[in-house]
Amino acid sequence: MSNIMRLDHVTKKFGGLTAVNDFSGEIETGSIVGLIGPNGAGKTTLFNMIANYFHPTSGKIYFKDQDITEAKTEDMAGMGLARTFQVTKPFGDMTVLQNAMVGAFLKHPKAKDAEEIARKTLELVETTCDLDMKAVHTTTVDKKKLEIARALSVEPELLLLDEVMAGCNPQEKLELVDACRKIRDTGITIIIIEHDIKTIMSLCDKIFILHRGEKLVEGTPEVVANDKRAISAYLGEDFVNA
Amino acid sequence: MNIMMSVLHGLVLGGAYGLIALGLSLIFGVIRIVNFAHGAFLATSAYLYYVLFSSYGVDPFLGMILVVPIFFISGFLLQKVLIRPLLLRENASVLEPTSVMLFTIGLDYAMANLLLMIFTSKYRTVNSWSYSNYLRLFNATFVTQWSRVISIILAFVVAGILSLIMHRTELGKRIQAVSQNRDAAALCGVDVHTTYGIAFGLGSAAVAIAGACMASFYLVSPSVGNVFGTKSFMIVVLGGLGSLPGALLGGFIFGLIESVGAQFMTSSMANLLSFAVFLIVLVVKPEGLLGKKK
Amino acid sequence: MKYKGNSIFKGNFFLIVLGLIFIIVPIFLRTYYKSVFILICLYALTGVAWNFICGYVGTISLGHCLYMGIGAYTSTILLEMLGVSPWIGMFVGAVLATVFGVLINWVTFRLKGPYFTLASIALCELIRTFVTNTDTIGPIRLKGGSGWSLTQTGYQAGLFEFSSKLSYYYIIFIMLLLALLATYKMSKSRLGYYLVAIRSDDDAARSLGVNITRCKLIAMGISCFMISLAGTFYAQYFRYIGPDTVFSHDLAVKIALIALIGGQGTVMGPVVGAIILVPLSELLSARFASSMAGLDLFIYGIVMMLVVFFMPHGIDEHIVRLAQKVEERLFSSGKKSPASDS
Repeated sequence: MSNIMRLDHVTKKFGGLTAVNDFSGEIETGSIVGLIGPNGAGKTTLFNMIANYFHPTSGKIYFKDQDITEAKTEDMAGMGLARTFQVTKPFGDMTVLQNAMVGAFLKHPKAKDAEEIARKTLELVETTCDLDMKAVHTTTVDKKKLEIARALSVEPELLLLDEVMAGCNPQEKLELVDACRKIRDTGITIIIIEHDIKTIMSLCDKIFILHRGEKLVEGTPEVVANDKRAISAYLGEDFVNA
Repeated sequence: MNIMMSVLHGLVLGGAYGLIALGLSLIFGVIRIVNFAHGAFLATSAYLYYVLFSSYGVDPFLGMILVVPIFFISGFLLQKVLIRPLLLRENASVLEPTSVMLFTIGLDYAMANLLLMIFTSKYRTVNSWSYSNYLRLFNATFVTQWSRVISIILAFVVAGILSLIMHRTELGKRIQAVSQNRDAAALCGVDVHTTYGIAFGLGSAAVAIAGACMASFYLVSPSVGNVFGTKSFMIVVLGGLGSLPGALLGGFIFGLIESVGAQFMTSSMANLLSFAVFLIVLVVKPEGLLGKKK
Repeated sequence: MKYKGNSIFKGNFFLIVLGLIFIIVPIFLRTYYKSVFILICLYALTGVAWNFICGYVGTISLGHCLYMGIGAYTSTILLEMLGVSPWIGMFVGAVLATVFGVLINWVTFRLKGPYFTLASIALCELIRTFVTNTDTIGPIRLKGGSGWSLTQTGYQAGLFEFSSKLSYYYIIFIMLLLALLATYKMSKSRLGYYLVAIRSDDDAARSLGVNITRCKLIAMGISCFMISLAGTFYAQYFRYIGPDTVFSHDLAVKIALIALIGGQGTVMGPVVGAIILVPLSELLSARFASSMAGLDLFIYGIVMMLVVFFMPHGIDEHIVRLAQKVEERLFSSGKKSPASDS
C-alpha cells in the first residue's frame, strides 16, 4: 500500500513554547488514522500544519509525494485535502445546501453540478435536517455533519476531521462513525482527532498518541491499547481493565 | 529660521490634533469599536461652547465645567442604552459584525446635519481671551494664540489623567480586564457594560475638552466635525488604534507634516502628504506606530 | 414557493409590477417628478455597484464615489478636450476605474473591518484634495476646485445630451436593469456563493479552496466598472462635475447608506433603499430647501440608526416577506395555502 501523506521531523514553536516536537509519521492511502492525546498535546497544531494554516518551524510535509510544507491554505482543497474545524464554522447566512455547494464549486463551476454534488455528500453523511434551512439554526450534530459534508464536497482524497464528535450524544456518535466508514469506503483517507477513545479504537486502522507535543506511540488499536507508555500517559488503567 | 518656527507651529498644532484624537482612541482601545460619530461629538461640543460664549459670555475653558460632565453622561448613556443591545446581539450571532459601526455612522450624519439645520453653515468664532491674545516668543518671531498653547498643555494633561485612571486605579484595572477579554472579565464579576459605559463616557468627555480648545482657536462650523473627525481617524490609526501615547504621536506627526510641508507647498498639498503618510503606514504597519500586534 | 404553478409571474408578481411602474409611470409625470425617478435609478445604480463588493463581502467602503468620480472625469475630459463621445468615454472611464480599483484594493484588502473603512475614506479624501489643487497633469486638464461645466452640444444624442428628461431616464433605467441582472447572475454563481462565504467566515472559505483576494478583486473590479458608468451618467445629466460633488465624503456615505438601509448583500436591496430614501430626501429638501440645508442627510442618518436597530438585514427582507404574503393571498384564494414557515 502506498502512503498518501508523510510527515518528516515536523516541529512547531510558538515563541518559547514547542507545540509539536519532531513528529514523523506516515498515513496509508485509504485508511482511517486517529490522532489522540490529552488537551494541549499538539493535535490541532499538527492539523493546522497539515492543512497549511500555518507552516512548521522545521521539518517537511509531503502529500501525494509532493512537498506541501509551504503551500497556501486555499490551495490545499484543490490539491485534494479538506478539513473541518474543531469549532464548527458554518456560513450562517446560507442554507445547509448552499454551504455544501460552496465546497462543491471548487471542481464544478456550474451551480447545477455543484448542487448535485452537495446533495450527494449531504446524503452520504445522513443529514436529517431541512436542506433549505439557514445553517445557523441547525442543531449541533447537524452542524457537525454539515461541516463534514462541506469538506467532502471539494471531493478530497484526504479528509481531516477535528473533533467532529465532541458534544454529540452516543446515538449521534454512532451515526458519525458510520458516516466516517462510508466516506472511507468511497476511497477517501481520513485523519481524525477525537477524545472518545472507545470510538476511535473501533474506527481507526492506525492511531498516533501525542503527548506534550511528541509522538508517544503509533500503531494499530491493539498495539496502542497494550502499550505501557500509552496507558500511563493517556489511556489510564481503567481503559485496559474495561 | 522659518523651518524652526514651522516645526514649533507644527508641534503646537499637533498637540491639538492629538487631544482631539484621544477620546476616539480610548473608546476603540476598550470597546473595540470605532466611533464614527467622533467628529459630530466634537462639533456638537464646539457649538455648545459657542452658545455659552455668545449668549452668556462664558469662556470655553470655563464652560468645560458644564460641558464635560454633560458629555460624560451622554457618552455613558449612549453606550448603555443604544450600543449595548447591538453588542449583545453581535455576541449571539456573527451575522452583523458591523452593526455598531453602521450605527455610529448614522449617528454622525444625524448629529452633524442637525447642527447644520440649527446653526446653518455660517462660520462662527468664539472670540474669547485665548482666541484673540497671542504668545510671543523669540522677539516675536514665534507668535501663536494662547488657546493653542493651552491645547498642547491640555493634551498632555488629559493623556496623563487617562493613563493614570487606566493604570493606577481599580476602575482602570476593570477597564483593562474588559478590553482584553470581555467574557473572562464578566466571569470574574466585572460589570462589562457599565465599564464600557464609563469608557465611552471618558472618551466623550475627552472630546468635549478638545472641543473647548478647538472652539477657541478655530472657526466653529458644521464642517469641523468632518474635517477634524476624518483627521482624528487617521491620527489614531497612524499612532495605533487604542494607544493613548500613539494618539499624541500621530497628532504631532500630522501637525508637523502640515506645518513644515506648508513651507514648501500649498497647505492643501501638505494635507495630501499627511493622507499619503497615513495610507503608507496603514499598509506597511496596520497596527500603527505604537499599536500592539494582534 | 408555497404554491405550485409554473407562471413566471408567480413569486415575482410585485417585482414585475414594480418594473412596469418604472417603465410606464414616468411618461405621464411632470418634469420635476421625472427627475426624481432619474435620481432614484442613479442612486440605486450606485448602491447596486457598492453592494456588489461591499454588501456581499461585508467590507464597508466609505469612499466608493472615488471610482464614480474617475468615470465622470475620464469621460468628461475625453469629451471636452478630444471631442470623444461619452458613449465611448464611459467605457474608457470604466476600464480606468476598474484597473485603478483593483490595484488600490489589492493593497487595502489586507486591512480588516474598520481599518478598511478608514482607508477608503482617506483614499477618497486624498484624491479629492489632489483634484481640488491640481489644474493640469501634463496635457490633461483637471480644472482644480472649480471643476468642469460641460459645454452644450445642442442636444446631440450621439454626444449623450438629450432635450427630454425621459431619454435620460430610460438610459439610466436600462443601466440599472443591466446592473441588477449582473448582480442576480453573480449571486447565483460560484462567485456569489464564494463572496457570501467569505463574509460569513473567511477561514472556512479558505479551507474550501476559495482564493479570497482574487474573489474580492474580481467583485471589486465589476463594482468599479458599474459605478464609474454611473459617474459618466452623472456628469452628462447634471452637466457639471467638481471634486466637491463627485469625490465628496457625503456622496460616498449616501451611496453606502442606500445599499445598507435597503439590504446588504441582496439583489434588490439598494433599489429598495433608493426608492425609500431618494424621494424622501428630495421632497423634503424641495420643501425646506432654503431654510434647512442638511435635512436630507439628517434623515439618512436617523433611518440608518433605526434600520440597524430594528432591521439588521435591511428593509428589503421585510418587504419581500410582506410581498410574498400578499401574493399568496392574491393567487391562492380558494385553496388553503400551507402555513408559512418562515
